[in-house]
Formats: sequence, structure tokens, C-alpha cells
Amino acid sequence: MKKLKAYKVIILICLILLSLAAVVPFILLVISSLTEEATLMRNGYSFFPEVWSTAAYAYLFEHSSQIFRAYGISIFVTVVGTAAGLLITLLLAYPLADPEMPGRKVINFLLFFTMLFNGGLVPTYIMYTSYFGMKNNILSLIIPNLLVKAFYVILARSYFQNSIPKEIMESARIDGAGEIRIFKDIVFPLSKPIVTTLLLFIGLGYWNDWNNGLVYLTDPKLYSIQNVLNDMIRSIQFLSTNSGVISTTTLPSNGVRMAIAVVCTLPVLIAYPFLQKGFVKGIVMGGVKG
Amino acid sequence: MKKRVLSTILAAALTVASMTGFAVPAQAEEVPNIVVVYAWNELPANLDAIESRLSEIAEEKIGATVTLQGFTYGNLMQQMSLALASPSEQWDCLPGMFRSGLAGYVAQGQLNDMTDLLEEYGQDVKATLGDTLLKGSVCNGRIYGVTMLRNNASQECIVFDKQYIDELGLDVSGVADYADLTDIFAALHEAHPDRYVTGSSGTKPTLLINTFNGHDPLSNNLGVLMDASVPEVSNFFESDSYREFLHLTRSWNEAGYIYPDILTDEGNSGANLMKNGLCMSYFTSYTPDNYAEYNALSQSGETVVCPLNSTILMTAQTWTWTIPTNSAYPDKAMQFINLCYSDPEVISLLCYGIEGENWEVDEDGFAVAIGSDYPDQKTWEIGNGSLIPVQKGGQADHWDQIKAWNNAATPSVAFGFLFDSADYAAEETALASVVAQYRSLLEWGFASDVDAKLDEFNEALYAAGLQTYMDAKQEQLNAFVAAE
Amino acid sequence: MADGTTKTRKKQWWRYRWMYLMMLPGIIYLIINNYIPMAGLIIAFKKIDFRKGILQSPWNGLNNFKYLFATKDAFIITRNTILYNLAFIVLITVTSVAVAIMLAEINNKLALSLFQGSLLIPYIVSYVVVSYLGFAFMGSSGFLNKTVLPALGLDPVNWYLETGPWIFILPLVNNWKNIGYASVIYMATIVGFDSSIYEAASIDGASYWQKVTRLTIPLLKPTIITMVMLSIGRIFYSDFGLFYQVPQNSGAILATTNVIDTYVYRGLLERSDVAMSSAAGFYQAIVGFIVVFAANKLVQKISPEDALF
Repeated sequence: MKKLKAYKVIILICLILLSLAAVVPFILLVISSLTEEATLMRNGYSFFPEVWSTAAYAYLFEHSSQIFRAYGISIFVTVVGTAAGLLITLLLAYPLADPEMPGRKVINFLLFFTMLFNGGLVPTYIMYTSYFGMKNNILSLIIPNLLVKAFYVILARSYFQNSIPKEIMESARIDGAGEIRIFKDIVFPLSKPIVTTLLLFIGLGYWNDWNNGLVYLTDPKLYSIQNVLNDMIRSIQFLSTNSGVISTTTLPSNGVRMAIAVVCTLPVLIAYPFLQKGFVKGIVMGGVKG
Repeated sequence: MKKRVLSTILAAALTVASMTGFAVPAQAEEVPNIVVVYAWNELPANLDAIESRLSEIAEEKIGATVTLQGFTYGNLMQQMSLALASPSEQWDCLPGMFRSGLAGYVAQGQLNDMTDLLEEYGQDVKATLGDTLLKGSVCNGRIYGVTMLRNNASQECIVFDKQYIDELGLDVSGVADYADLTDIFAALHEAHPDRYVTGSSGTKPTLLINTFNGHDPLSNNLGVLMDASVPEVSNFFESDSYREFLHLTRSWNEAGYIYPDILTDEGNSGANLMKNGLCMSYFTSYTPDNYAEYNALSQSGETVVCPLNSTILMTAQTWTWTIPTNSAYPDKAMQFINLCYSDPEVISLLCYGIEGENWEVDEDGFAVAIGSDYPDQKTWEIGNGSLIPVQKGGQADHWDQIKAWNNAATPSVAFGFLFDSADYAAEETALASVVAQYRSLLEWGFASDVDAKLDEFNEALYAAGLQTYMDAKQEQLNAFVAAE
Repeated sequence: MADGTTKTRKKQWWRYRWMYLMMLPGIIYLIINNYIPMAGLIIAFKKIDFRKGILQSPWNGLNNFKYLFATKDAFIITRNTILYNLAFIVLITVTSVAVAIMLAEINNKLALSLFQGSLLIPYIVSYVVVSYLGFAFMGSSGFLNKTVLPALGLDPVNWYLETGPWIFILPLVNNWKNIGYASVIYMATIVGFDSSIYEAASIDGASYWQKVTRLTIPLLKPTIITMVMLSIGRIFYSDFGLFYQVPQNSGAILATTNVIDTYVYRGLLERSDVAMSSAAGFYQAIVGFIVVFAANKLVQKISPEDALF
């Protein structure tokens, strides 16, 4: 009994240290967004700044209409994209997990192939804008590149392959259940861990993406929160690498950039515990392995 | 199955086969609509109102309506590379940002030849720029872009925060050269050891932003004209004056004058450092009567600006009005660009916004901003900014100063020459990597053994093919000079 | 006889008709999003003239590839790309499997949520912000130089000018950023294991360590192999943010930070050359393809059921 506790203690200590390593820099980020600009520059980043300031958040509040709109778009895109992406991914992965399906090898290979080769930005852009009307379309934040990723399909496929007992499906088939029914009523409920994982991954992919907005949007009204952040940072970099075309406008300061990063990250941290349920449930289902 | 998948893919690929040249849209519309691209640091809040007013004027004057496509600077570069490659897009007027000239875009067939259009519709452009400046964006003898009237010549300068100069009673009027700065730096450092003396305007800085002692960098400093009046390409980094200069900056760095994170502090430009009291000066490129701009970036609100070295007129037109190949109405586009050099209302709409709403003229005749809907007011990106009131903070004779300064500059013998490096792309990319490795490190005095590091730099340059690159440059330059 | 096999094969196809229907949306998407644009790969072999269009532009042989091999930098960037990727694969696999196994022992919902949520934070924060944080640690007045090194009685180090430390900094940052993400994958797999095997092992008197090494790790093997194979396919790619933004684009340390992606970026920054950047992507993909193919052949020999395709 004592021995059992010893390894639990070691595990706890390890996890606490690792978590601190991940969280402490983020706390530094939050504090620096609350540090007065001149103090930040003169003393560098510090956990205990000499002068606190909420100027960065006041600046963001001035742009609040743009930021709230961007939040709305980010949330819409993340919810719709994740739901659609998850469904299509699972539907593609499930049949591929069946070793007997004809054509499985070819499709598996073609799926994997997309992880290695891509046509590049320009051809993809020309196709989506010329034939699918993606320019300045909110769907351009959802469809190109993000909707179905081979990586997620492969993850789901290997879960179905390794973690769903084949006997259950077989007996259902013998009972005369259709494939779609088997998937819906038997496989899906057994797949909580992978569904949660994919929800998290696809959702993070949507929430964090700024590339699609950069490429397909010219109308800032459609910008997601990441696009707003990215636009500011790119403009700063542009102006500072092209001396001679400086403008009188004062650029958003360090504090503002930190504040935006905080603003981008917080919703994910708030949403995370709700997602977490899936993992916990899975553990309860799997039973205690101690 | 394999066959079926393959044939589906083939069919799909054939769809892409329609990715052929730029289709010319049907000209059936009654009033042609042109797409005018323009870039700001932050998009004006009333962009739509500006667009509809622009469109009214354009319809009346050139018989075309206008769609104004606004970008932030950060996005323009990215969107340019996509839109200029896409046949389904229509961009008619583009004030392009071309880092190393137009040659690459011309070689890829992305820009229209404007020579004949200028002849027909560009009288005001020609009158504003004059024969010399008009040559600035010539490629193979044809004009592919027209520059804007602004600080078209090149010169470096250093901007001091005035409070420190006044406090120590320093006389900076005699400063004309980098070497003259050492004494001033020493005095500033002694009085304020807790601040750094100097920074730079860029975050990826090279100290010599454009030119040094009147040499023509031929756009990238890889093979330059040491004397801008002699068309002889040589390696700038091997010259004695460069070596001497590096020893000077090394001595500054050793004395602790230079902001130690200057090479890596991505977040802050020198101007920003000065504004927050970390540095007392910064280097940038010079524009006459630009005090309003420099002042905004100083802690005390006032600056002293010292131009350094001589002024030279060379091919370095980063911002240029162009007509991309996917323009539907190149003639209307040229007419619109001509308005940017002649019509005060068009010019002020793009520079300051709507009069009475975004800006007004004060009793002294200066333009003053109303509110913050139109965030960055500037006149260098437009064409002929001298036709509208000078912005508050400048001097009434702002444009006379600029024109006089442009005219006083020595034109380089290679002015108008653009090196077409298409066949030397391998050398150019390798050289870019070497330059990234050594140059800013050396120029800000971070190499402890200047001579050894500089020799290493030059060896690496030659190993990367500098000689081939310079020979090609020389050959093309000879042809250019002969044609002149 | 031949007739019979076609018949059974047809029957087989028919039996799976619903399965094919399920896959249809995904397959259509991949064809549109991934396969159609692949026609654009020919750009890599063209001397592009947009006036004529991509297809009608003249061919350019392998000239667009020349710059990737032309200089001695070619060796450095290839070496750096491969070695860093190998280091990343080994490190991230070992650490994230370990973290997943440890997390599986946490039965308290709140604690699990806290641990896993914290470990994911670095993944959410963009590399631009990571580079600011890195600068806060390694700048001349950063945490290391102002606090840690003086406390140890050491001289300050100009981290962004020293090539040596980056061999360790980059894998460390990469691991710090991605460990939460990677461990989620292994965690999901562990959670899906059949608990009765573990119960049986407990009854047989197996210690915790024995259960980890004899049960968990062998059961994880298929997932580990899949993940490693997927990473191997990207062995010629690197995360631009990690290699460009985190070292603050500092030239002095290029010897240990320059990789193919950053070399291409720096080289083409001044040129708008679609063909050359397309060539770089093609080169990276081809190498990845060959390496994965070889690795897959190897796996097929050793444990055929784990092969990727």
C-alpha cells in the first residue's frame, strides 16, 4: 500500500512541475499586459512591475466594436466548423477502419498522400476564389484547409481499429442492424475519448487560425479575433522593416499586443473544462487502473 | 477503384486546366468600374463614404466608377502576391510596395506596360515627375510604374530627442558624417548613463539603411557603385570606407552607446524606444521638413534632425503606382492615376479623408484632423501631395523644401536601372542568407574582431557567388548606360 | 471461375455501399481541397508568365530548384532540418507518452482538468507571443541575465548571438509548446483501453511499473507508430514560427537555427517568385514521401498490422 502511494506522489510532483512550466509564462504574459508601457521597456518583463496600468485594455476597449464582432465571428466559425469537420472526419474514418472493405488501401494511401503534398498557396487560392466564390465569404474561414485533415482522420481510424471491440459490431450485424445504425448507436457512444480529442483539436485549429482570413478576406468586417491580432502585428512589422515610410500614427504598443494575446487565449481556457468532461467520462468508463 | 479514383482526379485536374491566362471581362457594362487599391496603417472608419465620393468624381471626370479596395500595410504584401497571380481578380490601380523594384513582377507578366498609356492619358503625371523621376521604374526601356512625389532622393539621418541636446547645450549643427557623432554620443552617454544613446528605425536594422557616402547600392548593396557617377560595379563590403565605418560603430558599441538588444528586440523600433525614454536618438532615412512625424516619436515631443552624408538620387522606388495585368480597363486606370497627380479632391480624399468630416483647413492654411475616423494622414503615397494643404505641424513651404532637396540630389549614373536577376536567383538567395548572417551584426558593432568577421563575411559572399552576380550586374548596367 | 470472383467482388462492393456513402463527403472534400490544387505543382517546373497563364508558361526544367542546392548553405539547412526534426520526434514521443500515462493515474476530475488545461496553454499561444516571452527570458535585461545567471555567479550571456545554446533551446521550446497537444492523443488511447486486462494484471500481483511497461506501452505501440510515421513524413518541413520568430531572426545564430523553410523565406523575401517557392515545397514533399515510404516498408516487415498504408 505504501509503495502504491510513492509512485502516485512522484507522478503528482512531475505533473505539478510541468504544469507550472506551462502556466508561469502565461501569467507573465498577463502581468506584462497590465504593466505600464515605459516601465515594460525600461525594466523588461517582470512578475512585479513597478507601475501597473490598464492602458492596454483601455485601448482595446476603444476598439471594442471591432473586437466584439471579431469574437462573434471566431465563435461562429469555431462552432460551425468543428461540428461539420468532426462529422465528416468520423464518417470518413469509420469505414476505413474496416479491414475488409474493398478499396480501403487505396483510399488510405490517398488520404495519407494529402499530408505530404499540397498544391501550394497560389493554385489553392485561384481555385477557391475563381470557382467557389470564397473571396470575402465567411465560409472561407471554415472550408479551405481546416475542415477535414488527414491527420485527424487517421487518428480516428486507428481509434476505431484498436479500441472498439469487433465482436460488438459483428453481433449487431448478425442482428440485422444497418451500417449507419451501427455507427450511430453502437460505435459513436463508445468513442467519447476520440470524439473529445477531435473536438478539441479541430476547435483549436479553427480558433487559432488566421491564415485563411489573411488569404481570403479583404473586408475587415469578417475578420476573426486572430486576424485582428495578426493584422496589427503584421502592420507593425511592415512599418518597422520599411524605414522611410513611417507614419505619424502611433502603433499599438507591447502591452496592447500582450493584451490581445490574453484576449485570444482566455475563451479557450474558459471553454476547456466543459470539453474536459469527455476525458473524465472516458476514464470512469475505463475504470480505475491503479 | 484505383482507376475510378484516378479518373476522378484527372477530370478534376482538367478543371484546373482552365487556369489559363487572364480573361478580359466582358466590356458590356455601361459605365466601367475600376478597382483602386490603397493602403493605410489602419483602415479609415468611413471608407465607404470615401469610396462613393471618389466614385462620383471619377464618373464625372473619367467616365468610370470606382471600387476602393483598402488594405492595411501588413496585408497588402500578401494580397498583392495572390491577386496579381489570380486571373479572376480585377485590380486596376495599385500603389504597389515593391521591395526590390518591379523587375520580378514584370518578368512574371504581372504588370502592364504604361509607356503608351502615359503618353495618352498621363500628362499630369509626366508634368509632376519630370523626365528624371519618370525614369525611376523603367524596365527594358518601358515604363511599368510611376513613382509618387515625395522624398525621392535618399539620405540617412539621425533624430535626437531635443531635451537632451538642449540640456547639455550640444551643438549638432556641424554634424554631417557618422564620425562627427562620436563626441556627441560620448557627451550624452556621460550625462545619462542609465539610457542608451542610440537605436534604429527598423526592428531588423542595418545601420546603413540606403546609402553611405553617396554610393549607389543598386537596390540591394550586392555589387554597388562606390562613386555614383562612375558605372563600375564593385563589392561595397570590401571597401576601405566600409571597414573604417565598422570600426567606428564597434567603438560605439564597446562604449555602451548602442541599445544592446537592437538586433533582436522584434517588438520595438528605435523610434518607439526613444518615445519611451530608453534611447536618446535613432537612425532613419531623411525627409525634409518631417518634424511633425519625428516629433510624434520623441519623449519630449521635440526633435533635432541631422542629415548625414550626401544626398543621392538612385533607383529605389519602393512605392509605385502600377496597372496590374488583370486590370479590366487599363486606360481608365491610367486616367485615374492621372487624377492622383492633378485633382486636389481625389488626392485629399485618399490622404486625409472627407473635408469637413475628417479634416478641415485652419486659419493658417494647414490641414487639421477632426476626430480619429481617419487615422493616418500622409501625403507620400498618393502622387502629388503638394496640391493639397500641408498637414499641421509641417512648414508652409513643405513641398518646396522637398522639391529643392530632390533637385539638389546628385543623380546616380545608374538612375532608372533595375537589375534583372531572374537568371541569378540561386546566387541572390544564397547571398541574402549570407547578408542576414553578418551584416547587421557588423554594422551595429557586435563583432568583437571586426576585421576577422568582415573578412569572413566577404569570403562567404564570394563563396555564395557574389562575383558571378556582380559580373551580371555590370553587364546589364553597361547595356543600360550605352542605351542612355 | 473468373466470373465467380467478379460476382463475389461485386457483392462485396454492394455490401459496403452504405460505408462508401458515409465516406463520400470526406472524399469529395479531399479531392477539392487537396487534389485539384495539386495540378498547380507544375508551377515548380515553369518559368511563370501570368499573362499567358500557368499552363501556357514556358517550361523551366529544374532551374527553379537550383537555389536549394547551389551553396554550402544547402548542407547546413538540410542537416539542421533533419537533425532537429529527429530530436523533436524522439523527445516529444517519449515525454508525451510519459505525461499521458501519468495523467491517466489522476482520478480527481478537477485536478485532471487543471493539469491537462495548463499543459495545453503553450499550444494555444501563437509563436509571435512565444517569441516575446522568449525575449523576456533571454534578452540582455531578461530574466536569465538579470536574475538567474548573477545568482549562480555567472556572466551574462548574449543568447541571441551564441550558436551553441540553440541546439537545446529549440527542442525545449518545441517540446514545451506541443507536449500538451501530443499527450492528449495518447491519453485518449489509454482511456479507451479495456480495463479488465488491468484488473486481471492486478489480481496476478503486477506492480504499477510492470503494468506500465508490459501492458500500457505495448498497447500504445500502434498509436506511437502511427504518430511517428506521420512526423517522419514532415521531416523536411519545419515550424516557421519556431525557427524564425523564436530566435528573433538573429543572423549571428543562423548556423544552428537556419532550416529549409527559413532559408527559402529569407531568400524569396525580396523576390515575388511563385515558381521558386513552389519548387521548395515540392522538394520537401518528395523527400518526405520517400522517407515515409521506406519507413512504411520497414514497418510492414516488422509488424504488418501497424503499417500506415
